[in-house]
Amino acid sequence: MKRLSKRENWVYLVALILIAVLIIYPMIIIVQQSFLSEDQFSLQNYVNVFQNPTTYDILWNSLFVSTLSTLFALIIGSSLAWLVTRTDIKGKRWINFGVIIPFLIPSFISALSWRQLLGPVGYLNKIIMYFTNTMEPLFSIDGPAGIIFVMTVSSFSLVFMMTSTAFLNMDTSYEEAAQISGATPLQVMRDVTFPLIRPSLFSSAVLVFVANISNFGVPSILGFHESYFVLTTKIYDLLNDYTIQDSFAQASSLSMILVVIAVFGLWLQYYLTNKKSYKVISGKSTQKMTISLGKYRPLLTGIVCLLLFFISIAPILGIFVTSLTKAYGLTPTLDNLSLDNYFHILFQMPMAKRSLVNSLILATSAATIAVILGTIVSYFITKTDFKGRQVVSYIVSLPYALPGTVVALAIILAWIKPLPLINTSIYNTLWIILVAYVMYYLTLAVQSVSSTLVQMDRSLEEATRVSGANWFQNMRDVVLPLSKPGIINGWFLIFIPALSELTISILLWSSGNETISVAVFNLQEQGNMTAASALSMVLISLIVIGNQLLKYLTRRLERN
Amino acid sequence: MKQNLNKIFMGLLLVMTTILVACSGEADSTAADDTITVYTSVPQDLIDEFSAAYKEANPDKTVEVFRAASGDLLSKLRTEHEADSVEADVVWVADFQSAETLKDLDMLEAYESTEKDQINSNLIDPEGYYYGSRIINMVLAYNTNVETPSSWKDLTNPAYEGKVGIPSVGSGTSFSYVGTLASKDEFGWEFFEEVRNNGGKQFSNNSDVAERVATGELSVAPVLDYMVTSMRLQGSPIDYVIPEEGLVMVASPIALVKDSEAPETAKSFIDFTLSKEGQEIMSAQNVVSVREDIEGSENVPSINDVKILETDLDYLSENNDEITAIFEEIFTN
Repeated sequence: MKRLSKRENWVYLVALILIAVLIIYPMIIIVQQSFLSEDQFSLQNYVNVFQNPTTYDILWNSLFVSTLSTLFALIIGSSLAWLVTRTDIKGKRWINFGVIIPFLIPSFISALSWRQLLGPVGYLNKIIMYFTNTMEPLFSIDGPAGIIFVMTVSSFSLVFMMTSTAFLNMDTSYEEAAQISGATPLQVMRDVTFPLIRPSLFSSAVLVFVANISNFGVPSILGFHESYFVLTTKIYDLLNDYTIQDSFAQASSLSMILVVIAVFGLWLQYYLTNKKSYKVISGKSTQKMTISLGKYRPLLTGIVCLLLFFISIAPILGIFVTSLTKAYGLTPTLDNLSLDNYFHILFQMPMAKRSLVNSLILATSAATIAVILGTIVSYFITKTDFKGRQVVSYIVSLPYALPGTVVALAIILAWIKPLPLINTSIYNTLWIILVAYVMYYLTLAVQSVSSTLVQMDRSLEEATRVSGANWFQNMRDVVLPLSKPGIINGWFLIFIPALSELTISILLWSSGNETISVAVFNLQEQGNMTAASALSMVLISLIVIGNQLLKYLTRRLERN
Repeated sequence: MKQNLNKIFMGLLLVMTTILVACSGEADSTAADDTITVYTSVPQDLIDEFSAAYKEANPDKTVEVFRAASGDLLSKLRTEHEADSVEADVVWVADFQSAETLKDLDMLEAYESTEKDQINSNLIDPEGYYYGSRIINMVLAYNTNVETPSSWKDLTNPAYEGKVGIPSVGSGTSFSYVGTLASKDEFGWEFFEEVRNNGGKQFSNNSDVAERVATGELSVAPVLDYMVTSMRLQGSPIDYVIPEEGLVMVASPIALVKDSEAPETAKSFIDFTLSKEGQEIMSAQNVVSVREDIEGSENVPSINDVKILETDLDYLSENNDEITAIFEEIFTN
């Protein structure tokens, strides 16, 4: 171990204390709360939760929608990835574009959009009713089927991206060999291709499953009217039920089910990525065998394009049309269209205006703070040889693996009491949301910066040290400039989702401290669909701008 | 190139710091005693109009608003109360029972409003803890493309099967409505079970239900009268009837929160709400005023001419938790 100057140890110590306060403390508090009944340690809350038959219904609902949506996302995502990377399907650029859109749109906005199309008075339903001359809508997006559908649409892109990489890195000579030995295309698929991409399929399955079981927006928007509750919406409901005396304790116990599922998923993820996977990535042969679709080529191209148009463009069109109609429910003829809703939310409705400012402040500060703290933590994890530094990386990744509902609950319990010394509470201020965002998203900064730091050779830093630079100079002149791609990437990886965060914000917001997603959620709950749609369109534009900026910066950095 | 990137990055940092500084400055000013926070279940547009009017009359005061359903408000207030960090200065909820709950929690402060004498004395808490601020009525709304209903029992009419809605009891007005019908022999909980069997669904709140009746997603539903009236006047295909059994009257109470940090501003906001000027805003929104010196809007039948299904407030307060629990049980199965 190299000699370490005292000063740099102080930096690590401060970072570690921050992590303890931000992450470990709230987690301890929520576990403790779940065991407290009338200020005494007891298992009473768990007994209450598990003796209540509805707990099992809700758990079943959660597992049911998450499992099925994960399965569908796997099928759609990996088939598309295969078509794009391995076959001669036409319009690959457009397919890639169509896949990325649902990934960028927050899932609760997606749920709202689908309601515009396939809700009881959705546009598609109305068109079908008009042509078939019926009174009853054909489809209903409300209820479990709709929840599964929207979750699938929101998560298949992730599977597509992860399996695409696997397909691209795969050495196709194995397939060729199998084919030459006389295997039919289906046999090649089953016996060679599938086993080769299995690790990435499993890995994306875990990610998608945990994301969907933690989802709050979709089941809340599409499940409430059907009285279809899942764990996240039930916890939210409990926290808002003033007639239950120990609602916090019960919610804490119920959320422990989600914690167990999430921690198991996290472990599985570690296990899968560290397990020896099929390393058939070769440096030389990059000539990929492209499978000719033959006579099916136009047909498959058509189906894929139609499908992608339907699941990625149509919902945006739906919400866009609603955002332009004067009153919800009016037929969108030219007479009924106007920009009034945009004018209303941007200039008249104080709540909507405020929410835009708040979300921008929160996303910018959360990303910046997380990146600063994350860089120090990454350096600590990858470049020092302190014992137990891997534990730090595990702790930092924990909140992001947990459902936002649980994170928010932990934050409330930990921070509602007035702070020592200054004697005011950050509860009911914007800052409690900021604390929650930093806690939740920190791992993204750490992962992003770490990935560039591990590529950096130690000799560079040693050279700087030898020439007499201290730790801070080394940081400023060598480490930071070299890890800039990771830092910028990490910043945007946090900024963009933080801009549209709903699950945490909906439990932590207070008067004057609405975020965009809280405003959209509350507007739709009040039935003000036109304003909610207009604000959603503004949010979508912000997300697209953020992504373009990230792309632009990444390209500039690569060119350097 | 590198230099440019540095500039962009530094620029972002600078923007962020400026924003942070700017808004921490803002946060300081909110601590002053000319700023109040109102927790309310009044619809967003109405409360926006109201605080703007108050602000115009009192330019040096600031009103911050937290709007949510009555149930959500009570739960948030209770949490804050337990943590000893209540943020609200004024609560303005939909129904008397919500105010009673807060009074029982010792969270309200009695206060004699300057407007007291002008207000119908039935609408004032005898101990002066809260004042009815507007009269809103649960009536039977229907989409004008379907057959006009006539009775609350039409919610169980197979003609409307699957297109019946009801606001969740998290809404204070719906709570009063459900409690009132449940306490009557001719309805009782069996009535709500039949509504549920007729495909009745619960929705988050009154405005949500009203919108859905207008779009035709629902055919009939109990909703607040003034919401239906304003949508009807905008041209939406919605109207209401006063059912033959009578409407359920709710007088939305406003109250001063105990240990407010800005009691004078809070009191002046309450007085403004009850004042002639404030009540005229209500009247313009088709809400019945609580003042005896204000004539009703022409769009709203006078409360003296219509049949009222009497609400037993004692029943509501004695069965507070049960009403919520039984309703939830019926509508979540």
